[in-house]
Amino acid sequence: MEQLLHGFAVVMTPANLFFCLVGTLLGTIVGIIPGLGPLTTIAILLPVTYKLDVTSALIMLSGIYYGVAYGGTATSVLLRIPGEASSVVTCIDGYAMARKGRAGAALTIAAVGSFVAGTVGTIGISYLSPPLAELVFAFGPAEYAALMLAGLAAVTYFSSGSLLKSLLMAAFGLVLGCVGKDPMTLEPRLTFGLTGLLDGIELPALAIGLFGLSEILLLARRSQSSLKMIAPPRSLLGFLPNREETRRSVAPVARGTVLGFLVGVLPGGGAVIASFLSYALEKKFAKQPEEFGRGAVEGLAGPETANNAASSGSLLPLLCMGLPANATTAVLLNAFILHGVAPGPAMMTQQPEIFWGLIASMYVGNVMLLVLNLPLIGLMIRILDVPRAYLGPIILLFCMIGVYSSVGDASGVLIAVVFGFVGYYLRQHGFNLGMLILAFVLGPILERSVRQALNISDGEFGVFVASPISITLLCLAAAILLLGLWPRRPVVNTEDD
Amino acid sequence: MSAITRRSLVIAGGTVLAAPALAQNADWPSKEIRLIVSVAPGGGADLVARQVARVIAQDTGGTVVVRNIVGGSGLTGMAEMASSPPDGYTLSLVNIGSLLVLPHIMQVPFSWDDLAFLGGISQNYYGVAVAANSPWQTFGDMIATGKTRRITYACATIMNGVALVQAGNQSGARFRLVNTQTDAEAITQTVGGFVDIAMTSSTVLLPMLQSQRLKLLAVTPARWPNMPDIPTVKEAGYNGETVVPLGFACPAGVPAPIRARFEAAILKAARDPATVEMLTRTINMPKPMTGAEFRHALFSQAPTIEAMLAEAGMKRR
Amino acid sequence: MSRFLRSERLPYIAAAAVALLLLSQAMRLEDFGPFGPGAGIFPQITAGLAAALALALVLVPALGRDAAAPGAAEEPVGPEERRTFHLYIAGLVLMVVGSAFLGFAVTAILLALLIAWLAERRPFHSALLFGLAGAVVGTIGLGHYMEIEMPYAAVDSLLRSLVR
Repeated sequence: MEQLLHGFAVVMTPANLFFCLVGTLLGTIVGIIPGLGPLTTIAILLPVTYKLDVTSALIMLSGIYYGVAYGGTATSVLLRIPGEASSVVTCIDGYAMARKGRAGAALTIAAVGSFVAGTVGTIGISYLSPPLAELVFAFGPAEYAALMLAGLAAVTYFSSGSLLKSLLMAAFGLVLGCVGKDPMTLEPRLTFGLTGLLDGIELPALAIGLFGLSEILLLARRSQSSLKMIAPPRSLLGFLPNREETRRSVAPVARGTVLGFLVGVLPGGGAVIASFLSYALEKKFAKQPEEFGRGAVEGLAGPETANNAASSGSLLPLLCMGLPANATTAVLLNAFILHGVAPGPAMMTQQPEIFWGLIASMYVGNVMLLVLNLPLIGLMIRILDVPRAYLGPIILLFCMIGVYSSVGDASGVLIAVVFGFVGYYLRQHGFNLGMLILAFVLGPILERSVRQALNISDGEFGVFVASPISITLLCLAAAILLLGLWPRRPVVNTEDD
Repeated sequence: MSAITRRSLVIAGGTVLAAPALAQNADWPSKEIRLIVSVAPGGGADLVARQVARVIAQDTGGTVVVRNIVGGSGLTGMAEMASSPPDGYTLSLVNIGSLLVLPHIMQVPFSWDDLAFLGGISQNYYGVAVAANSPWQTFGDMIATGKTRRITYACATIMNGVALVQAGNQSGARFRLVNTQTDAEAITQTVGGFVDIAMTSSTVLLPMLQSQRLKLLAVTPARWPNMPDIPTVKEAGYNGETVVPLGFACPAGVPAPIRARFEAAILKAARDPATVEMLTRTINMPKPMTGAEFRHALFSQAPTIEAMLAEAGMKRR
Repeated sequence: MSRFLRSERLPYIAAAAVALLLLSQAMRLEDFGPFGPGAGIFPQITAGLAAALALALVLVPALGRDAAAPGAAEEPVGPEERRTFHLYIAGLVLMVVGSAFLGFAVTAILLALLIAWLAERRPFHSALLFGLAGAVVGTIGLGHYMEIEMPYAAVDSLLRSLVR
């Protein structure tokens, strides 16, 4: 505690507060603008930071990292364009809320949820670091395989309507995840000889195509008159959630925070898995599960909190062990080392002012983000005022830049457009696209872990039940699957999209 | 696919512009020079490339734009460079895997002869790291165990393991490669006791070494400046070395005068104090190399790597 | 009635065809490598699963029916809406062609004209102005200053040279 107070003393200098603000502001912008990834931003800024004080530099760079998660929500809720994989779930109920005229409420709940997640996550890092970081080392390939199986089993909870159709989508997600070079032997798989597919189908191309572009096509079919592009609220504070929405988001935010933080600590796809698991969890707890997919507050609040908590969680192995959990934290690690700081237990004891200064800056940064974002919401929902004639080209150009910049050439745009048509067709026929994305993300990790485990064990399958963690997770997977497959009571549907 | 057709369009446009430039190089550079980097922005190699871009820009008075073309394990960016018009407006960071590894696995749209090597900046330091509680105290202990049982080593890039495989071939110790997605994954699996060895570069090993969760048995290709007591694999008695130099290349057809200016600029960048400081901070070895030296450093490894791939069952061509 | 059935089965037939195609590709891969499961096992299992599920739905389409949600309720689509819809499809195709050949600026202008002027019948000059603004903001603001990777062609480098 004393150390943390010392950390606050470090942050509360005008210079450090300024760099914290710059970092979080940049992060928000990076999150909103397509194609502007945190990687490139940090790479461009890194040489500039050489001249800065180490602590200021690290405060700013970390601010970019956790600020991104705030900005990314806006395009998902307003335009159904997932900025990153972990916002895919937000597209489902967040956008449905926007269509009902609750865009402002959705964004406010997301911002407040993110704030809670970020702050509690930082508390988690401050007090739980050493024991939690050990969790990372308890997960070997076999344990990961079991975790992915549990995640995949949870997909059965996503199924609304026909279970068989949902499983079909999950199976396709798994197959699509295999496209490209084999992760072990590098040989091309399912590429049909096309060089553009060697790298596999990039997640942004798939997600933007299935969600963003298919929505454009659905909107285009509607006549101008029936097109209720949701009118933003007229009153000044009309974007705030009402009492009912607030009440319903409290528990999901709490659950999402804990779940997201724990899953985020584990390297590899933490935020994505956390958001999907939270969605499944909320649907399980919900009083009206049939509302999911049609603008359920819980379906937005839980996952949106979970993905932010996960991004705080993934800073924990970086700060405590020097182990990056994803590409962005890997770049952050490089930035730390360039500044002469090797994160890890040594940093906590030898350079406590940097470690605790950074932690304190994250508390401050989250407050700044909330204060920055709330007024922005009132501004951002105005984009729904733009008539379809002009919003259409904007969305298409957004999608084009987003995909092009993440894939690096036009083949990505082609893939996105193909999946735009596929997504349109599938949605017309009532298929569940969230399922496809989740399976697409988890499949490759599952396959790689299974093959790594068998490689290490020299082909012995016993490796999968060798540790209590993997046994527990496998039992959990089986239980979830059984529960998910259990015939559900038919729900009476009153309202259609 | 579409990328290729777009490229041919660019080539058509490029040749028209380049024709006068080829005749007399005096007005080079008259447009922006692209430096293609086949890794994501922000990492060590990317930062070096950006540094080199600055020096080339100063040196030639032109504009140099860094483009990160990530993909195909580095193949996409290299192929983009190799198929660019040889007018002196495209060069790239050399992705070693697409020269030494990928040609044995899949069709690669260029060969060594299509590239002109321009020089090198640095080399990575590698370490043979084991969990702190491992019974092995020296590299020799580990090799001794390797004669009785299979030893697993984890790394994200197959080339990291060259030194180990060479040592194994000489001593009869058996090694098994566990391919991981990232370096961090190789380290967690080693600390967690799932694999025996993490064979990765110094930068990523550093935090776990400092906090004494990992210990180094040997290093390669030279002793680390910050851990001078750890012997190299060669000093430990085995003729093994992992050499991964970082350098640049352009299409082979680029006129010699322009190549010479690139080469001079790269050597200058390699000796620049700012570059040296950045490399030293991230525990990399500054190692200025001429184009010929750089090419040799790569080419001499080809037979070893081919044999490794064959042994791992990855060689298909 | 038979037409209704056929239209209900169509997506499943399509899915089964795609899955079988992927399965045929997957079968060419090795099942087992030197270290246990090879490149082929996982794609074969998953593609096989997809094919089996799709075929089951082709045979018994009732399994795919959703008791709760009776599919997306189709709005009546008039000729005007159909025309707009087709122009939006053209817009998606233009995105691909544009990012491969035309560069960002030209694509932005053409997209604005296609959607705002042709599809939504806004005045030509306002659509053009809108497209020009998008082209300039995108190429210079996002492409040049923020260094975002964007489709690039001669016109874009011309625009960027204005600020360089």
